[in-house]
Amino acid sequence: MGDVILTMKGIDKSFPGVHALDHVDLEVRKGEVHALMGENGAGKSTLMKVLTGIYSKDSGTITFEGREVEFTNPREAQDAGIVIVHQELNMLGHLTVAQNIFIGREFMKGKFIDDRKMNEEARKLFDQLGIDIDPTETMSRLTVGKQQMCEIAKAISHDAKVIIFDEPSAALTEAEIEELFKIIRDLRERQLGIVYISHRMDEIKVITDRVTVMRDGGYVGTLITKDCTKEDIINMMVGRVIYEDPKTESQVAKDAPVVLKVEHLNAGRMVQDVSFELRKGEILGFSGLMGAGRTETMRALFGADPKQSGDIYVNGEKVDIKSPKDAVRHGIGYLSEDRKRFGIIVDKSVAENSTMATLDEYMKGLFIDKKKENDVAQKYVDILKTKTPGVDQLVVNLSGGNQQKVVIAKWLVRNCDILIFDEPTRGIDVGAKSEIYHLMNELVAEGKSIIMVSSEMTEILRMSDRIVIMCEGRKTGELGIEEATQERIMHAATLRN
Amino acid sequence: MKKKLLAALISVAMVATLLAGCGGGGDEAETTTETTDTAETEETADAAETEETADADAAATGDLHLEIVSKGLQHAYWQAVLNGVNSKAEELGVSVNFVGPDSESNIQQQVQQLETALNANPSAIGLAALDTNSVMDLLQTAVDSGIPIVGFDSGVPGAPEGAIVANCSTDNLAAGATAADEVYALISDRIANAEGTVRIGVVAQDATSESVVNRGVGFITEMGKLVTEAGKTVGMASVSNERYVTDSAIEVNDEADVVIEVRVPASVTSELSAADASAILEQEDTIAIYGSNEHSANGIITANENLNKCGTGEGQVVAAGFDSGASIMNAVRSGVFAGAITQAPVAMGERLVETLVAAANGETVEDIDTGCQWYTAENMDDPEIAQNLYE
Amino acid sequence: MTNKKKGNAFTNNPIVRAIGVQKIVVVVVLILLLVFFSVKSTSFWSYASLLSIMDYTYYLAFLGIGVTFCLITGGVDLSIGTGMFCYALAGGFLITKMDLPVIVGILVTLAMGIVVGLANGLIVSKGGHAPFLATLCTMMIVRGLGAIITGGSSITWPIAGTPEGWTRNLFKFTLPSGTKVPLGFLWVLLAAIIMSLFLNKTRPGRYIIAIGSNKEATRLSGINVAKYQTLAYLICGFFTGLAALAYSSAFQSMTPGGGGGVELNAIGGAIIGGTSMSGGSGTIAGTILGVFIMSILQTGLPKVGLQANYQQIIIGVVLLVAVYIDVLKNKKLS
Repeated sequence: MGDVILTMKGIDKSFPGVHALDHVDLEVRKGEVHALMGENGAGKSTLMKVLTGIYSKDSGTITFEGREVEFTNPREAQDAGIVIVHQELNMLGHLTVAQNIFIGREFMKGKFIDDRKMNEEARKLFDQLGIDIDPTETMSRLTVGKQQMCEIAKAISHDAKVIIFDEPSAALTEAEIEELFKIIRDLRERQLGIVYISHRMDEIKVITDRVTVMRDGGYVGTLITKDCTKEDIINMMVGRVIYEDPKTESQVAKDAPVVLKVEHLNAGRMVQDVSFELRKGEILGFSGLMGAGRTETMRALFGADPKQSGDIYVNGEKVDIKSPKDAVRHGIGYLSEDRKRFGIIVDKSVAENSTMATLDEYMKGLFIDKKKENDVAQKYVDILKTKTPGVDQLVVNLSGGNQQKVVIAKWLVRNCDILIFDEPTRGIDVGAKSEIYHLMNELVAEGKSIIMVSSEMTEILRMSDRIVIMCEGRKTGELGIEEATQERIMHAATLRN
Repeated sequence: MKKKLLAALISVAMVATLLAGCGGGGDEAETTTETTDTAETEETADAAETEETADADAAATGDLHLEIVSKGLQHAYWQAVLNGVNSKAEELGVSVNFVGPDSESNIQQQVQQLETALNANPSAIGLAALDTNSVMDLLQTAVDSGIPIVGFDSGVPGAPEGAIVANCSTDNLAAGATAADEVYALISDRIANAEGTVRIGVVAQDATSESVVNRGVGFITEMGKLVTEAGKTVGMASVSNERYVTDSAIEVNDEADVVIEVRVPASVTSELSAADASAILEQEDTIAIYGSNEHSANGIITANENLNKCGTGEGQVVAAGFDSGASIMNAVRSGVFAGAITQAPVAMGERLVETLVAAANGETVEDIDTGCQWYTAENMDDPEIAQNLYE
Repeated sequence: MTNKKKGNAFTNNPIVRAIGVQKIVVVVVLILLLVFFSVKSTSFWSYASLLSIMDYTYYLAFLGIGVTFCLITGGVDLSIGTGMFCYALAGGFLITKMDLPVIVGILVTLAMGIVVGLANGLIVSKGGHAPFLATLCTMMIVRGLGAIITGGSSITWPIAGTPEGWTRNLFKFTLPSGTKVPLGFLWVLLAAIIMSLFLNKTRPGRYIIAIGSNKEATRLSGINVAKYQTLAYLICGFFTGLAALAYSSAFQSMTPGGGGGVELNAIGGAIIGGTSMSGGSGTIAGTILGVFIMSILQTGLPKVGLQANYQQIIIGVVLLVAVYIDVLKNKKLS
């Protein structure tokens, strides 16, 4: 490890209503691979966006190569020598590899682009890195791994001094990861500073020199990788005090019948051989880090995405779910994580949204029975205590929590017994959150069953009767609430197969 | 963001100004025409008033004020109608206000013009409606206030019984028949001497305009009659448009001595008409071809540019058109077309004013065929015909 | 399964890849169409047919080249059909009704195309409007404009043989022997070569492709996305102006309000030629081939004894197939 090349000190950043970064420090040296770790929403990405000029910081200093800097856009950071290698995003699929690498700074021969020179330069670059890619190949024909190599080559060609890898291994195969590590070690040899963001604990141990841990937008500490254990890092990541009362024991009767049973569900890379059971009156938490495949599992179960194999039983009976319509018919309701895209129609009224899944029952001949529709919508506004001036109000005018209640109403109107809540409190303020929790508890008390996908540890521990943990498309753990701790969950969530 | 919006607005405004600049010429031309019109008609009215004391007979008509709402104003055709209207108005000593919309698709503008005309409380109104349904209310108003309406040109098709007292228009069936007579005169020998089937092509337009359909049907029916009278059999080609087959009452028969092939392009554009004209002209047995309006005739001209088959010489295809316009007149003059039919807009204007005056004076009026003319390279410069031709 | 392998062997052939699978398919379809029409219609295989196919090719090719640029950015320009009529009407009006020199009419025709193209570009890139909607609006505007400028009458550009009619000779030249030479093909070819070089070998061309491939990534590469997006529409406008000249030279007259639907023939030609509706890929050569298919259909279908409305249905189905293939291609990519 050489001299310090990059120092971020006391970085503070607030968005309306959120204190995203709270005086965070980060120091990167030449010739080191520095891991940046933290749970979902710990602030890693925000910190990197501040560094590369996508966000501006509220306070704090960034020192790069001994000078204080403040970039106003990614281009400036790039020119100075700080480059992010994204997971995939930045590729122009229809152009060739060489054209991608030199986009925006093409070699010219008079008025025309000199593609031959660009191919030569790209080839030199690849030789240097020991990568075997044809520069004339179209980008979209490459595997994700190769595309990432190109991104790295592009970064090098920018004369980068600091390279940030944002979850580089998430989409790679084992062999590709090996190749990636080889390149990263090579870059370290060349005295570049490398920031490595990943959730994979074993990778951190293999490739990084130091680890900086963040939690809830704050700086927790920096460790020398070889001097610490996996458990040390996990403890730093989750070591918060849980203010809300965690559930201490399951509220579900021991002999409660199984209402939903999923066996060996497979749907692409993100859902591999997932099996679990849901009992009547139970809240089953699904925990895991970003990209663990929880939402994908739910979408496959609900019929929103195609599945390759797997059996689903509802109340002991095997059912064939090919589309959301089938799922709804079997009494399964799905509250999407992305309300605005999948859950509600924002420019329609509360009443229209409430009856969306059940419109057939509100028809009078060819026309919608407006009165009947309003009555039922009003009923659920009362039950759920949705704050709206009336059922005619457009959903777009409601707060996030109340929008969520409208989605819940939609499925309650449909009389669904199994409800899948995917990140039910995302983007909802604290008051509304506890109302949603209260509501969920009431629903299970009435005999409904709930699957709750959540990235918030406190939410998982507070609401669940049982917890399924996933990592990279596989189920890596299942804990009863009695035995669940933050550490045990995080351990399972970073378990790679 | 606001800046961007502003930029977008400014650019749109720029385009609009520039384009308006291009169109400016047209607008000005329109205003001048209108002012002169008004000036002229006012003078006429003044002249009529001064004559009032001298000539008691003129006094009877001198009070008459006529409003004419046409389908257009700038096009030479409407200018020719206007000429006829003005000369007859001067002769009869009545005042006339002649208006028309900017384009034949501007129905709204015409409705407003008709409303203004009604408010002027004229003695009678002449109307060539773009869209009968849009003026239905106003027709009722006219009936209620006792203002007679006389249709002209395409008239007011589908108007309720009694709303229109008479029509001054070209009898399109008769005009089509005239074309058939003229063409037949040129090909009768060839038909008589033909060994196999001979083909007569018609490039027509679709059924949306009754008047244009009639020009085709008139031609086909008359041609059928003439061929039958000459002792030959006649049939329609099987590719022909059903509407024309039905209306002409000639059976489909591809084996007849004379086969009439009617083609109707999917929309009214030169390039589509040209494709259909080519398909007819390329057949070996085609001896004559007729385009039933300006577009169809233009289609024939385009097709002939590539095929070079039309003319009146030995073995050439006798071609005839309808309407004038630079291309058709050139085709007639250069002998590509044997001739073409033109309506008589000047006569139409004159008959219209006569009919309006008669109607205003409470006389019973009836429909009038304002006639048509067959023009050829020889006669197209005669003043009587030239006044009805325009580029 | 075996089928798939066969396809891969074919698509991986270096010669096939250099030319592009779709272009090879289009050429095969083109030949099949020529054979079909020649068999079905005795008069199809003739020099006159060639001239007539060329009449359709000129304006469609210019429109196609222009709109290919919009399509590659992931946009579209629906105003080109009515625009072509509008500019030709305006130019012709100045020449024949205002008695201005022919060159003035030509310049105004081209200038109008450029200005409307620029406006489309700015509305899309700076205003952030969806290209489909923005150009649908300009389509309405130019349609009305054409009628207003000419006062609702149809316009005929100076006819061949007159001193002012030289524009027609540019596209169809008559030799002293009376033989007509489809000279316009030379201009189409020239335009195609220049624009092909522009698209593939210059920075603006490269960036136009990049925008259609991944707009955000292009922006992050430090490229002025709005500028090149606007440029694509401006090019499209200019070529619409050229198409207006080609149309008014090949055909007799234009009617105000006409030209609707022509844009679909041009866009269809581009898509048949392999330009993607979702942007990022397309070639000028492909567009020219696709346009040939459209103009051969337009010339050939009436000759095989099909009534106009059936012709429309066939052309519609052909376009639908082309769009479907495009959708399939995109699915495979993702």
